Amino acid sequence: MQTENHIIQAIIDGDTEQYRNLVSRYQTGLIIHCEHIVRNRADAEDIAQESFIKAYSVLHSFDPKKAKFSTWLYRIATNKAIDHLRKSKKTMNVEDIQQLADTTMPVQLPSDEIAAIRRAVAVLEPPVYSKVVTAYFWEGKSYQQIAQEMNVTTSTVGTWMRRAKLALKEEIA
Amino acid sequence: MNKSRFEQKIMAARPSDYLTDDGFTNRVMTEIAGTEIISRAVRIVNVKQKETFIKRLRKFHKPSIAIAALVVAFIISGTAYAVFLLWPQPSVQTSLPATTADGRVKVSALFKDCGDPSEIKKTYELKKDSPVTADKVPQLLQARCEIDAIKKWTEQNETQPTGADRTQPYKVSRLSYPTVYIVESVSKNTITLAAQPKYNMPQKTIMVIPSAKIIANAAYTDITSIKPGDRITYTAREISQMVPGPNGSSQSDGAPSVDELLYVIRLELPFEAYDPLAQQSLAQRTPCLGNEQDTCVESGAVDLFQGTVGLSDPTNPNTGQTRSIQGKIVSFANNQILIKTSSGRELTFAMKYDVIDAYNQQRSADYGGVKLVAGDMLTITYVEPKNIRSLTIPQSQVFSMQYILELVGKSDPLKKY
Repeated sequence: MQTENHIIQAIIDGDTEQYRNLVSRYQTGLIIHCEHIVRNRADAEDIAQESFIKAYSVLHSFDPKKAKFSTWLYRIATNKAIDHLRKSKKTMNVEDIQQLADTTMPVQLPSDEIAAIRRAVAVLEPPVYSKVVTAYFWEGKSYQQIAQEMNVTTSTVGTWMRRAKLALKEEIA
Repeated sequence: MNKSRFEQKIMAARPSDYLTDDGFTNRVMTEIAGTEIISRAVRIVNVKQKETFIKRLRKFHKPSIAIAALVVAFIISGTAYAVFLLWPQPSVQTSLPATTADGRVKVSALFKDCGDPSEIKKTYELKKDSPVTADKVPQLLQARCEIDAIKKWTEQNETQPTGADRTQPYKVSRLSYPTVYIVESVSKNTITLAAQPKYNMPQKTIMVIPSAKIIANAAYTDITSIKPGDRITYTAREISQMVPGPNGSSQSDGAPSVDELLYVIRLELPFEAYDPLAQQSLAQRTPCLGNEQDTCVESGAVDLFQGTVGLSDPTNPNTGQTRSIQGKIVSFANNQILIKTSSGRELTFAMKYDVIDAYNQQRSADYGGVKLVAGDMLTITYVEPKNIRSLTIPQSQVFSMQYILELVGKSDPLKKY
């Protein structure tokens, strides 16, 4: 399997189609990251899309020795989200935003911890809690999409998500 | 743990085989394609040239740039409308390969227009010891999708003779299966196909009759589009002579004869993508029939037990429900077989004799000495009365029990999955 740096080099060398791999890999997390900052799903998706395009256009300036691609991409998205808030005249302290943004920056976990989290998510009770966590964090669906698919209101999804997080925190903490 | 670390952790634990929003990815890729011409041209020149290039572009007559852009857009979009496609472009979106708990490579794929207009999600596992590497799986699935699309299209165009008197010998028309070949040579009305010693297939030449259609890129063309080295498949109408048998049944009167060559279709992927051995390296994993929370892998199998219960009509809500389940043997003793399914459920099959022991003692020698032990995978099809779900199934409800094989080539030594 190609490493991320190989993929990036291939894109810089002209194999544009390889960028699809990076978009697929990071889109779910990046949209959640943007949604966390701008508090609006549709805006978050637009910002994430612009961030991918921006990252592509300056990919030749990315230095893998200085940062991981994900960190670099998320920084681009954070700046775009801050610009968006400025344009929409939503007042917010930039430091607060930065702090908020840090909460959804990608992290790497040891495989045993990953297995424990997946197990904890899979056995959540009732199973709808597992379904909303999976749908939102892993399948990249919005609360609205989840609500439609499960035939409930968006606020019900929100309630289930809050309870699921509480239950998960006890398990994973 | 604070809130932030917690959400980061859930995201970091995201399994890589989850499918992503292709619409989003495609939008990004489309935007990128739109910027590519200028950005790449700028990227490959040095800094001084870059300035000149951009300055020149700025100085250029603006209406001329607009006209040039329109011409380019017209040419690009025009190609899409100029060609009438016989079938929609089949596509497969695949997840990045992941590794299962059993150490197999697993890929999820979204099939579109593979003989079915709806999007279908499927999961595949690469069999162990297969000649295929993980990076080739997307291409294999694309090839499979294309063959399915071609098969569906040719079948739709074929009309069956109707109204045969089945008390007398009669003819049945079928389409040949679209096997893939490599072209060795082409003449005005013949195509010679290379031998495939691996599959004991000799070289053969097909006569391209005037009514046969040549197809490339899902559009009609002519034989000049077929070149040596190309991969092709063809569809012919095969006629079988049927003779009436007892109780209203019919049977074929020997091998089918080729009646008429209908289509020769050029394929665009390398032969390796269509190679039967490579294709057989993939095992599809689907939700188990009537046990949708579990997944069942589709692979070769050896029968352990055949019951006397009849399968239910799935369209009749008043009859029992036919279910399939697959799981690893946890234990077998006292005629009870306990299996653990992919979702972690445990089911017991209460048999009237020790089915696994009987196989190990009496039949294993017929199957290369393969013996069953705890941890081996079984597939069991059983019938349950309507609205009853039980974790213990008596033998009277078991339709069949098999153990799954990890078979790539038909002549490979038997190996348990």
